[in-house]
Amino acid sequence: PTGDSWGIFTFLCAALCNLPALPALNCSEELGAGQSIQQTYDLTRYLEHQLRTLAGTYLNYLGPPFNEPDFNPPRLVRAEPRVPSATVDLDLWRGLTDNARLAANYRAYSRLLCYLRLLDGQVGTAELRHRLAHFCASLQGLVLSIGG
Amino acid sequence: ESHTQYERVGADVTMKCGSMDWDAAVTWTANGTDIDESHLNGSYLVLKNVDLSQSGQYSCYEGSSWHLKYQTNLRVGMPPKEPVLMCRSNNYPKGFYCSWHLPTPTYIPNSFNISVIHGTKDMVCEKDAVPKNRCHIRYLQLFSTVKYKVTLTVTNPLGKNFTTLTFDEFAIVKPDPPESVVAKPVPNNPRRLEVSWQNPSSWPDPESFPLKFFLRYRPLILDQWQHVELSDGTSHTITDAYAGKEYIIQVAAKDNDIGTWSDWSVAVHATPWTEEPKHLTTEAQITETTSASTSSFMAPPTTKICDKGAVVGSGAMAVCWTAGLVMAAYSVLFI
Repeated sequence: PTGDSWGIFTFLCAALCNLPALPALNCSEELGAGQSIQQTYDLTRYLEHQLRTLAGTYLNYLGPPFNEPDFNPPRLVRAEPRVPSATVDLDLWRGLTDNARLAANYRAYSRLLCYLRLLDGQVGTAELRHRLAHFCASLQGLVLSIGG
Repeated sequence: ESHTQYERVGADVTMKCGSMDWDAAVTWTANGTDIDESHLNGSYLVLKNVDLSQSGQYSCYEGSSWHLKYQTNLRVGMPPKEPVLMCRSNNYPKGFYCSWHLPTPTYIPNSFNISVIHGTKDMVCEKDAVPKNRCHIRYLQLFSTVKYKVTLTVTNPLGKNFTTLTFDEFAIVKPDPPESVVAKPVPNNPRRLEVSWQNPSSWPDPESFPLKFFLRYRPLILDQWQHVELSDGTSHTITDAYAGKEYIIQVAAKDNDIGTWSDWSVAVHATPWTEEPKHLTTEAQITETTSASTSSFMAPPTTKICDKGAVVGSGAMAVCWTAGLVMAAYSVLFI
């Protein structure tokens, strides 16, 4: 359970750190996407901030060597179907429209939310569980915001 | 036969005269100049503790016939020290480049080999024609969480060395500085300067990857910079410039989310608008003298009275203006 939880946290950090590369509004098309993109961007940045605090708390809970400054967790390269990855082929990404990008974000964050809800609720301290619950609530807000 | 021979600085070098026997009578020359017999051990030429100046063409001639028996080009040098490698993306998301150099010269030819590994995949870094010690690579994937590992190996006839860099895609992003920075005074506004600039031309997609900017400015006479961070737009109006002072202004750029700030742009200079002195008529000589002296006292505070101490700000300005008015009043009295 610890290894699994750690795995998800590293993925979260990586995915969130790379996801907020949303395109600027292209005024000639898809005007509706513009506001959704801006909201998604802002909420994602907030989630990233939350995640850094959460990761810090979790690392301190685990103790050394996890809480050392130069600790570099391995990135999960194997295809874990439940945890989304932001990595995308460059030419493919270029060809996406704003709505397609929003849809991809929606799918990714929905899957992430499901995965987090499956995490063992008994793991960690009360503070960690509380922070994780808050994070899930914010993530749910983000998913609803993109979708709606 | 003739060939090239590489030796380390400080080494002892023994050169044989081709296939001649040790006890054969030979003459050695270095770049055409005869070499003294004291350096010979039989027919072998012995150079102890060689230095860079001993590089050159060494030739060996058979004693009596002066036939050229052997020739070698001696190159004295050093094995390479650990090279210095730097990788940077100034054209995100297109790719990145790496450039390298040796910290100290080797004095002999070096060859460089660079390898880029992304996870399990080998990538090709295409060498640039100019500058020579540089290569560039195109991203195949975006937002990758797998690190890139770049290894540079330098080899020369006396040894080899290498260095490795490991980094994330987003960590090496550093745009070029903004271009075409222009600063202009604003008519009828003695405390304003209008600054405008352009995105660096190397940044390929500012629509999808917008840049934010950092402006810094100060009057030439002061050391302290004022800073303004701008999250969008490529222009800004400075509204707190000191009247009549020449300013130096620079701008830097950064991707909105990732990487580091660019270097500062080329500095531009500008002075805020100042009112032209009123056109003087010949009839009022007194007025002329008065306005001449008042304008010299009411001019921007370059006089010693106003430079007293290090106090800056509107308080000091008020003092200067007051002093100017007082001086003007006195000069009127004296006429």
